[in-house]
Amino acid sequence: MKRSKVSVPLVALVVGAILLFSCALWAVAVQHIVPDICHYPPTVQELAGPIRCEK
Amino acid sequence: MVLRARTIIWLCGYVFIAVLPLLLGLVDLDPGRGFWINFSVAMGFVALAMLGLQFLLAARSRFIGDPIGMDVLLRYHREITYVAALLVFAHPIILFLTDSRFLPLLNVWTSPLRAKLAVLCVLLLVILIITSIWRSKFRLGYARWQAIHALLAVAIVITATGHTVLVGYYVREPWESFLWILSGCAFIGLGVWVRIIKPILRRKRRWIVEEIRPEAGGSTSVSLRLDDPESYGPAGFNFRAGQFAWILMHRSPFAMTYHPFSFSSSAEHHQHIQFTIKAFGDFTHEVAGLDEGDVVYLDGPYGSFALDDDTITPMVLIGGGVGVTPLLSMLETLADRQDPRPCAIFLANRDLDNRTCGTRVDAVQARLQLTVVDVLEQPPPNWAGEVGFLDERVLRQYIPGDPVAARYFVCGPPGLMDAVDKSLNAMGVPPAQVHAERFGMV
Repeated sequence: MKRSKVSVPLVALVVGAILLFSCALWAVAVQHIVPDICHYPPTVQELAGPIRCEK
Repeated sequence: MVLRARTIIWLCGYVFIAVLPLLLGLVDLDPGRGFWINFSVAMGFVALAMLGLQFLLAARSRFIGDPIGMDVLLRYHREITYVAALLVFAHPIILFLTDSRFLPLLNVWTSPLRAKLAVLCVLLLVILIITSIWRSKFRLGYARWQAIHALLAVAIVITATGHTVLVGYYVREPWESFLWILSGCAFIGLGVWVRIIKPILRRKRRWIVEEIRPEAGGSTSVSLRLDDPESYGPAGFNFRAGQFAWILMHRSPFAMTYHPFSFSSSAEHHQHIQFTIKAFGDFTHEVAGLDEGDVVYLDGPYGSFALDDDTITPMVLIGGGVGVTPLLSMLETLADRQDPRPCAIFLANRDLDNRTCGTRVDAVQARLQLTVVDVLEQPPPNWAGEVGFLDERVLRQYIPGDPVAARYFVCGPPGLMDAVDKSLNAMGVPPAQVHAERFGMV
């Protein structure tokens, strides 16, 4: 490959930062799109079964 | 397209696939659960996509690797694992910090299967990282480590996908669960393609050892001929000078012990090829034990560190130790093509005994307009050549014509690469004219 002044660890770090930012952005977007009405975390009784939330 | 543009497009593609689960998750959204839990879930989704992408990065695909270089791709595969691991670890930690009622899920004796799978996934990831970083401390041979690495990777993706589907939140719709399972199968299928299907196809492509020749510096040149010239189809086997192939010897093509080595022979002779291998580790020591007539399997060629169709620009080749091998392939190819352009090769070695393939470089000099410059750290008595380390002064003294107008191919250990990079920068050589390949990409 041709020489690049950017190191691979630095690129991985930048990609990581972008992905982390995307996660935060998604969390904010979800909050704006749908209301927080799910009772979470699951109760002890719910641990044994799949988590259900009302829409 | 210049490297920078190709790299940016490549990275954009990577980021897009990694965040694709988030985009799909926005369709038919389940009710929200607050910022921190959503943030944590998002990290879990992205981490799983990244773990799947690791299969793609390690699949030795020319489509994936050639735009940025296979050595960079494999280093990226290694470095981005830390980012994926960070997201995997942060996913439950944020849940526990947000609400302590999540903590009972850690008790694998009482927790539901979805939580058991999550705990198992994290444990496997920790083992994978530890065995990769401290492979030599655990005295894990390369072959054994590769097998463990592959099995752990498959188990991690299976457990993580199982956890995601069983939790079901944001993937409750049947099509969402189906997509997750399908993508998991696709990524694991890639591993099956590389480890099972490709070796089946490779069984007919047997290379026979023609000659074993010891070289200076503890290296060995292995000459191979293709057993069945028709086995690569009508186009035959082709490679570009400077490229490398993954080599397997003494084992069935299904073995996982392929190792990457550069071709050291002319690219004009496709059915008779040669590799020059230095005895560094467990596998490379086996090379000296090869016999004439032994069967060798190749996976390749790969790599963008290679000659292209340019026949005008002066070439400067810089090699350290066994890093000379791809450069030798370039020189012999240029000689076979009767290339008239001025070239220079700088050979940086500790002493004359470690001048790998030096006699072959000297031999090809008569067939090219080639300047050979040896730089020795420990020269013999009455040595008339350069002494010490390769630096800007030495480069300026011997490069034919304007240094800024030449193309550079550099291959060697990290110290040499860094020193040459610094010198070429100081000389004002544009990065686009410098091709570099480092040792130790796996």
